[in-house]
Amino acid sequence: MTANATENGTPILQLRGINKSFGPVHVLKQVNFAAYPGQVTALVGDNGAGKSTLIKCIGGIHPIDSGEFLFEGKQVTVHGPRDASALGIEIVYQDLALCDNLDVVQNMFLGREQTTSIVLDEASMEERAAKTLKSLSVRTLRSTRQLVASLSGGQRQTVAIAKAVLWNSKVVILDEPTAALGVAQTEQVLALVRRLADQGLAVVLISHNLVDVFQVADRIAALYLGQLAAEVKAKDVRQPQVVELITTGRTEGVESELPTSVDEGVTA
Amino acid sequence: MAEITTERRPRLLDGVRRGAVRVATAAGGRGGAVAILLLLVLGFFIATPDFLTADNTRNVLRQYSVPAILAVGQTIVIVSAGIDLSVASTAALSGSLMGVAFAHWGWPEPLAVLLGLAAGFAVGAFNGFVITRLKVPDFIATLGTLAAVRGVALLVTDGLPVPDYGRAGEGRRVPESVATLGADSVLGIPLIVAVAAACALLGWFVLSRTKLGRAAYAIGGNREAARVSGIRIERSKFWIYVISGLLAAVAGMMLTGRLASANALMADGMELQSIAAVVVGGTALFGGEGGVGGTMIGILIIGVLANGLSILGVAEFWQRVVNGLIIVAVVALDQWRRRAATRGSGGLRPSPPVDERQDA
Repeated sequence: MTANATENGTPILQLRGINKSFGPVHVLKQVNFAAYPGQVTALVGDNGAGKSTLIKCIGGIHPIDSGEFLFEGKQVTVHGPRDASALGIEIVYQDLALCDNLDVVQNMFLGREQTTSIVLDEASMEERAAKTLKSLSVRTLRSTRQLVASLSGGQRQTVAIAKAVLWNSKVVILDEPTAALGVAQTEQVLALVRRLADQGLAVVLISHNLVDVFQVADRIAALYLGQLAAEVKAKDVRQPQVVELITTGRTEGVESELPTSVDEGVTA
Repeated sequence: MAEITTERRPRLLDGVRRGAVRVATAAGGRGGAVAILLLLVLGFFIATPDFLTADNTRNVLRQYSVPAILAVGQTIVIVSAGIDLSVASTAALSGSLMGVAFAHWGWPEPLAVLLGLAAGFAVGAFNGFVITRLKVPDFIATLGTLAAVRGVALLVTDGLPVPDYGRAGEGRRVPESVATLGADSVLGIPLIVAVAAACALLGWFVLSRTKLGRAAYAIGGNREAARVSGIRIERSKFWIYVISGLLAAVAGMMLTGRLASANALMADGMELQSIAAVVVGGTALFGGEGGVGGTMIGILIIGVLANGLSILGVAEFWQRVVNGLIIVAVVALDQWRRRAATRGSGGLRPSPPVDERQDA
């Protein structure tokens, strides 16, 4: 339905003029960011550009100092992970946030277990987990009762992503989902990322790997030293231009959203 | 990394090695604890005809019911990567307070029992508050209450056994219900053993069938993952310590019933016994693993060992030495098993093993 969202479709998640400082360090400066249903928005930027801080602000881990946080066009405030989840925003962290000592189902429902009165309803959780994994065309898991410790990197990433979409979430943010994976597993995870968007979710993909980015992303947002250098359609740019955006904050033929001069604005 | 070497190893050799690790894993885990228990029972059975009798079995069960109840709470705490050193002091306080309220102050029986439970709740809540709000490490916080609560018990009883006949009301000793549960038997089964079994069942239920139990495993397994998954770590830990405190109160009152008397210094050293039972039963001290079933095997190992050595006439001083060494030996075996299991799956625990079949 939303897979072919029009060029001027409304963003489900929109940040306007976000600022965030840690003590004297101004990490995010007037950042604008948007994610659209049915599209993969890649968030790129060099180390220290503020990518992780930005998603942690979205996920409620860090409170924002100033700026507007709009969800489905309405202004909202997010105070913690639970608020973000309640809106339908799920984040898959780079370190995956899985418990090795629990099995796949237990991990997928962690913190949000289903119960009948006070007793855990294992049967219905198992059923729902299996259904979600199936809807994502995940066939690499032998059993949903396998301990996560026994899974490979790709399988763990799959479980973490399935955990995020289990809750009818609307926005899924993936922090470097392919960073630790081999070639075949990367392909699987990228296919999964594309499938999420095709199912109508707004997907935000953080990656250092521009090949991955160009393979799945519809839009590319480049952060440079805490500021949004550009937000462009993937088909309108080529890889060298994105590299330039990441390393210098601007490139020919792409309109930068940065104020006149970045370098003078940065003293930290 | 290790993962790569695992992958390249010849299949047959790999299979043999994995098989060996699997056997070692089973022998050192809960299966190992059961095996050790059976070996001890068999050994004492061969060594003396006085060991495996109905009377002696009842005796062991009755004697180790109180530490078993403490160990149930301790299991839940340790699974969540905490530790509760205050359980024995709490048991003494609860028993003493109940005894004093009933015998000296002349409180009605239900109120005295309720006061005992309230004391356990209060100590648990205090531990929980200090640990989750004041951010004092679990070990230090409960080490503090270990000493302080013992002190409160001494203050409550003036350091004298309860009931103290100078001050006890006419015919007031310990509450009837507590004396019955602590000392009587039905159909040859001591009621105190039934109480301990009920507590174990409750602990098992909490750990394996409730959200709080799941939270305990998650906090013990990966605290950060638990946090970002939306588990309220502080709240969960608070209630886990409250449960431990309440179970300690039940244990203290049962001990009072069994002895028909309470005193501020009773249950001495039982916090270590409870921790030993948990660890011997296969629960990892760093949390995330184990369960009440293993702990019950652990307490039986400790009980059978002490009882068997007594029957064989080994002096009590030597018993302590043997007891301590057995605990160290079991945990050493457990550590060895873990290392073997880790090598078996390739790489350190947090790094995922490579699964060759995954991409096929």
